[in-house]
This record gives sequence, structure tokens and C-alpha cells, in this order.
Amino acid sequence: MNQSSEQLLDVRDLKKHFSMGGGLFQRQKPVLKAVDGVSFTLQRGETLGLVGESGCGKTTAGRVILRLLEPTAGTATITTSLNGNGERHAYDIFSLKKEALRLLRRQMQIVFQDPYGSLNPRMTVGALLSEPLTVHNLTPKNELDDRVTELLTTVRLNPAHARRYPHEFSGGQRQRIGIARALAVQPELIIADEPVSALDVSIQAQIINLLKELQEKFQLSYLFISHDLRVVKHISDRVAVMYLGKIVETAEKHQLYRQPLHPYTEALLSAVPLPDPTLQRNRIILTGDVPNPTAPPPGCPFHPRCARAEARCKVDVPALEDKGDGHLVACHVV
Amino acid sequence: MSLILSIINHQSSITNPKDMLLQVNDLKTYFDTDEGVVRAVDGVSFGIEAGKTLGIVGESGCGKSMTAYSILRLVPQPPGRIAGGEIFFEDTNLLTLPDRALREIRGNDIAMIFQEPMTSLNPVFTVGEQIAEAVRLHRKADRQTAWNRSVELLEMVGIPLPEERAKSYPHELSGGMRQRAMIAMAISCDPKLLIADEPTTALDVTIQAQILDVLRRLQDELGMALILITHDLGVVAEMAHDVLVMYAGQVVEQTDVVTLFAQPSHPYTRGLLASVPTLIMEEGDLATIEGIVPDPTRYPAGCRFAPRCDFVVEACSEPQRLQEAATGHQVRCGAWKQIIEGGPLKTNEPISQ
Repeated sequence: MNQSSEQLLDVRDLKKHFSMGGGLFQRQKPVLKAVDGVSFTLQRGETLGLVGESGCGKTTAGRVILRLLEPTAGTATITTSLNGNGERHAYDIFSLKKEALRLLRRQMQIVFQDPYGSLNPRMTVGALLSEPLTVHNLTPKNELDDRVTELLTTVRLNPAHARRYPHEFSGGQRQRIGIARALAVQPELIIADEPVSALDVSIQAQIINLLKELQEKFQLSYLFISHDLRVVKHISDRVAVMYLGKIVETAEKHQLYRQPLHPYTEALLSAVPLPDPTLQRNRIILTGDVPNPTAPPPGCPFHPRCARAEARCKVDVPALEDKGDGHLVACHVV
Repeated sequence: MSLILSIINHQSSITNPKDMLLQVNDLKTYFDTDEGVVRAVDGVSFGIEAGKTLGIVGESGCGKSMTAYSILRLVPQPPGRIAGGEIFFEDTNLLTLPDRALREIRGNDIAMIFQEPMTSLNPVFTVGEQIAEAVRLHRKADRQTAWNRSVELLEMVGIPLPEERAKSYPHELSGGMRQRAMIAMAISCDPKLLIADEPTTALDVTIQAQILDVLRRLQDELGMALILITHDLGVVAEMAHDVLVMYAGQVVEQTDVVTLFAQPSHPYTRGLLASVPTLIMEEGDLATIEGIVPDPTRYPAGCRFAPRCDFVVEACSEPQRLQEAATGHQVRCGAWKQIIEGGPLKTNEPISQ
């Protein structure tokens, strides 16, 4: 939970455009605006849930912030300590050069959806966890084993398993290894990209509880990317909803789930099946699909599917506006 | 004693097949692998009435999909084999039916849709052609009639501009549209039973809502029964009349949907319900089921859930049989009564890690 209101991350007007292949005779290559002007902040110790459906740009946004992809435009400022002396300064993530970027990577780590795809199958768990420690010169050689044991205990795995290979573990255990590897360098920010989406519900609950526990223990800040509104509600402090490369609504969690303002958020919430057969709900069923992101509709990106769309929605792009208490909405109608 | 008990239990579990559209009795589907025999489905019995929806829930590897595949004898053989049981569709035992006769039932009376429609659609034919082909094969219609029917079916599943869409190739459609096309193909011959294996798992939640809506509407219009296989308890709550909860190849609880959510009686069902984050629940840690699903080649000799269960007593080292908790409510747990009376879901001393 967020006690201090100290800011860790400030992302402003982030854009990432991909130019698509295009045909041989196509003069202009189509441009896919995966992230198209996204701004948000993340406080220290806070969890911001970034939700949206496939193709909305949530994963791309996460990768650009980590500089796994280079941004097209925008800034991202992180307030952290690069040299390890504890003094925090603001750094522009996108302008850092090689060595500084390497130091910064220590402070921002990622946990992937598919832990199996992100763990080298030829390395033992011990080697996987030692690698970041050696790369960043964090632990002397003779203490590596102890640190690996400590990390495995932290994520509730048996330290004796350090000699095993990733394929010997179940999906949930592998995700624990992925988390241990991210924790190894004692980062301040963890970007978790659909970390529980591939897991069964009983295992999902174990991992969510673990993430919450670790956050408290190490004062971690999470950018939690997911399509699952139920999981996001459970883990986040604040939630940002994305649609076609843009954030359409941001609010404190309870506020957003109790009183969604954007018609898309409203529809998204009403589409989530609830485990109560006696409940009668007035479901909003959206018509049609998400538009092709290489040819997004003019005006508000949601207007072709919106029941409340007016004439100006087809022309003007709505800006994110504060409707009170930090509840931001990009909609002309509300 | 245990023999008598099992006979009594066996008899009581067999309902007169004539009541049911589909009645599965003691189905066993095994796989012979290098590591040993995988008992994917191990003595599953259930029935479904005409027009009703049966939800089969469970986590990966519990045998829910293999149960469905066994009904249409789609289990890959080898390594799979149906090692026992009977499956009555109306009065016919599907397991003893010659292949040719079974082909008459598949697609006509019983149809199936899968999780990933792209793998079940042929990429080199338009969706209209593929649906028309199904119509021609089963209904012996001429090409033009079949094509018209295919456009009509696409309209029924809510595809806009069906005449144009019929000329699209599968890759030109979105995931939700492909699943609609699959459903159109499945209902092309007015099946009495539709088996849907995780039909919305690969889809976004707003598209899932559309597809579930289509399924519900078609069920009303066509009066078909639906077996819905899913891992999502929310989907079950919204769609099903009756529910089968599976764990490690067995049915652990079976009842109507309202009872299941109001009074879950098997510790696994209770754990599953408590571990799902919902939109309405309050904060705090999610309840978890510790440990992992047992290795299917080495199931515990006694209750298969015992290694993860918080309520283990001595009797759990014996195999558990399905017990009648109430009329139409069966639970595979000898201690179900104490569990629902005992209040807390978790005891203070977990037995296993």
C-alpha cells in the first residue's frame, strides 16, 4: 500500500509507432500507433494496474518504459539512485546512455507472462539467479550460493531446487523463479506483464498473494499489466484503462470499479462474468470489434462502439480530464 | 463390504438413459505413455437433459476436455484409449457404434467447438465455403442452397454483412468473428447437443460476453443442450444449469448451479471458489489451495485431493466415492458434512505443503 506520496515514475505523452511492412508498390507504409500519447505517474510503493484488451498497447507501453523498445516520442522520468549510495535523482529514462542505462536496469525489472519462455532452459535455477548478481557486481562469488538460497526462500521455493532446470518445475513454480530473478538485483520498480494469466486459478491466487507480500517486504512499486479486471482489482491501488493506444480512464481502484465514468470502462466491467448464479445483471454488450490500429477511427477511438457517442466524438479527440479526486476520463460525454 | 457399497453406488448413479439426452456412465479414458498410464478420465458419470446446459469446470489436466473428446470419440488413438464405460446418446451407445454410424451422429446430432477457432478452420477456403461444405455433407443440399444456408447461419450468429463475410478467409476475421463462424458451422445441422471446449478462453472479455450471448440465444432458438467446458467459474455461474467439478480425472462434485455456489461441499470446490478474485469481494489475501495437481501417472491411492486438503482425516487414505449430499448433489468426500458445518475454509494447521 502506498503511504508516502513520493513519485517514482512519471510518464508523459509516450508514443510508440511501428511502421508496418507495406506492399512493394505501397508508397506510404501503414503506421501502427501501438501507444499513442500515454501519460501516468507511479508513486513509490504503489501498484498501478494497466488494463485493456489485446492490442490496446499495454504491453508495448511497459516495454518502452524499460527501454526494451525505443520510444517514438514522449518522456519517462524515474526518481531513483543509480550509484547505490541511496541518493535519489530524477533521470530521463529515454536519454540515458549505455553505462547509465545498465545501472538503471538494476532498478527496473520485468516479470513476463510465460515464465518458461523467459528462463534459459540450459541453465540451472541457481545459475539463472546468480547471473544478474554477477552482471551487476552485486554479490561476491563466495556469497552467491547464500544469496540464491535466500532468494528461493523469499519466493517460497525449496533452496535445494537450485540445482534443477526450469523444465522440472510446474507453471506456478516457474513464475516464482521469474519473480526471484527480478528480485535478485533489488529493484525499485517491477513491471509485471500478465504475470498470472497463464496459470490456473488456485495457482494464480498463490502468485498474487506472493507479489503483494513481496511488495510490502521490499517496498516495491508495480506496474501491473493485465487484461483481467478481477486480478487487477485485487492487486492495484490505482487503475488505468487503455483502449487503442490511449488511456481512457484512470482512478483510484475503488472509485473506478464502483463508479466507472468512461463508457468503455463501464462496458468492460459489465462484461466480466461474476461467480454468482443468482445475480441478474443489465449487461452492456459492446457491438463489433476493436478497430484496426493501423487505421484508427477519427475523433474518440471508442466512438464506433459507443452507445453514447455524439457528433463531436467523431471529430475531436477527447483529452484526459480530471473529474475530481484524480479521477481522469477522456470522454466528451461524461 | 466395499464391493457391495460400490455396486449400490454404481446402480444409483445410473439413471434410466431414456430420461437423458446424453448419459455417460463410468467413463475411463487412459493414455499409455513412457512414464506409465495417464488416467485422464477415471470413472466419470453424468447425464444431460435436452435443452439444458451442463458446465464442466476444473483446472488444466483435470480431464474435462478429454471427457468431451471421448463423447465424440475424438481422443487420439494411440496413445489414448477409452478403457471403459458407456456413453448413451438417446438410446445409442456411442462407444460401441461402428465408425460410419458415429460419423452420422457427429456434426448432425452432436457438434463441437474448440478454444482456438483458427486451428479448426481451413485457411485456404472462405468461411462461407466451409460452412456450405458442412451443410452439403450432412444435408445433401445442392451448392446454391448450401451457400444460402451458410449466409443465413452467419447472420444467426450475429456476423454483420453476412453475405460479404461469407467470402472472407479465416485470417481476415478477428478472433471473435472466427469463433462465431465456428459456431455457425456447428449449428448448421440443428444439433441436439453442442459441446463447447473453452469457447471464450482465447477471447477478450467484451468479445467473450458477445459469444456467450450468442450461445444463449441460439440455445433458446434451437432448443439444443450445451456442454460448456471452462476453467472460469464466472462463466459457469452465468451459463450453466448443472455443474460438474472435476479434479485429477474424477468428478468431485456435481449439482445444480445455484447449490454449487450457495453450498459448495467438496474442499476442492470451496478452495476454488475462494481463490478466484471477483469484482465484488473485499480486500485481503486470496485463499489459496497449496501445492500442485498430482502427477496423473501416480495418483494417490486414497482421496486424490488429500495431499492439498486442509481437512485430512484417516479415512482419506481410502479411495473416496461420490456421496449423496442432497438429492441431485453428489460429493466425493467422506467428510463433507463436517466441512460445511465446520465453518472456516482453512484450518490453522495445513496438513501438507
